[in-house]
Amino acid sequence: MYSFLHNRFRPEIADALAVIWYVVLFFLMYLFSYREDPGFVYLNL
Amino acid sequence: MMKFLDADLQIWLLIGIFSAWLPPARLQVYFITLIGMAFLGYFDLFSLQILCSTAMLAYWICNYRQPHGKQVAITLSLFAVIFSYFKIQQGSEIEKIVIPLGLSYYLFRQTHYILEMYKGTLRPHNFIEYFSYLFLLPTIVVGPIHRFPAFLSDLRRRRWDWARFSLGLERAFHGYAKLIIIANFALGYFLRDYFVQTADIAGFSKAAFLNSAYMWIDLYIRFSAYSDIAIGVSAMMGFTIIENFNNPFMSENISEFWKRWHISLTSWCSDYFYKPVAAITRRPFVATSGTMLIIGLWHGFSLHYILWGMYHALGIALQQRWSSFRQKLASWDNHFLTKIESGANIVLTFCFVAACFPVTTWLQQNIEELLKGAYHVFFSA
Repeated sequence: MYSFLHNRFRPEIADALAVIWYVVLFFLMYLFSYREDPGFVYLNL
Repeated sequence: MMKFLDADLQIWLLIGIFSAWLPPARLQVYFITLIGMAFLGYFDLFSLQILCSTAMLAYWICNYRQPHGKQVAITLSLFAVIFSYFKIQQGSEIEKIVIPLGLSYYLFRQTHYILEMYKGTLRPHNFIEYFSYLFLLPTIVVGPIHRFPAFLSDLRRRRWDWARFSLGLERAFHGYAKLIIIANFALGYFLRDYFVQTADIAGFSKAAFLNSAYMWIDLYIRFSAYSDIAIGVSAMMGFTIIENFNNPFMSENISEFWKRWHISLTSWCSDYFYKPVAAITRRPFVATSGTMLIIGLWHGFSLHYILWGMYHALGIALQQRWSSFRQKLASWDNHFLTKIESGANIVLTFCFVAACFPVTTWLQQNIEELLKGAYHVFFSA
């Protein structure tokens, strides 16, 4: 994402957008982390 | 079952990253190997024993002297027996045993190593370099099935690189986000009720199809998230690992789908089964059927996965016939119509893939009932 943004925007704008992106993702991960991970069949191969 | 968001797994991944950089440069390879071994021993001691013994056997066969064809064949047969034994036991309804952690991945890595050594394509290396390849911590549990030459090249050239480290960190972060936000929350909470209307996936009903479509999407999101984490953490340790997915659900036909889904496994099967068999038999359908059968059996030794492999092989054969026929027809001059055709192909390919579980489960149930009936007629008193 960081390199994607830097290829399309001025560096200072790309940095700001990247920070916003990571903060939003962190927040969503924190918000939804209460959901239990059911595990996965490929871990049992 | 092991879970990827467990705290102890995250701690092990952190230890793996530190072990790759903190020790003096000449000791790093030893630390990478030892931490990988400790990790596997911590979660599954039996798996560690199997991996160590098969790895020592493979190294000895390939390096003691020039590998001989008969020795290679015996070793690979032994691997096949170990693999089959656990897979059959895993699928058995009488006595279920837990398959050693990561067995399917590391046996395929070792087979690749033996075959490449036999062909003489690998650069000279030592025992610890080979072991560090097998015990690279992020890839032990869920792949990808990466290749030894690329690993060896990275191992010898790796230097601390902030850019590579930050790219790896970002990749792993996106993997965790995909797992928590999309797989566990969006798919597991919102979409599940819409897709999964019945526990039964056999048959030709809309419910069975939606259930199967949900399974494929869930499988893709979770597996690609795990691959992102493995590839990201490996990059943080200084290794570039082969990609496992390339937007498979955007494929325009089933052949393309299998080039974009679980790439490390399909490229392994292509290199070590499809190409040799196609070269010997000159019959692409035989090679395709065998390859899809191996991919099916890799997932599980059962009638269901045999049918699963045959379903995809048949799909590939039919699609290749259609493609050669389509090439003879005039292509669309209109850009819009070309886009429409591409979109229709993408939807059809997804429908074919999603219909796989209902069709093969239905076939399996019917064949089993037929066999039971035949047994009853011929053998019951």
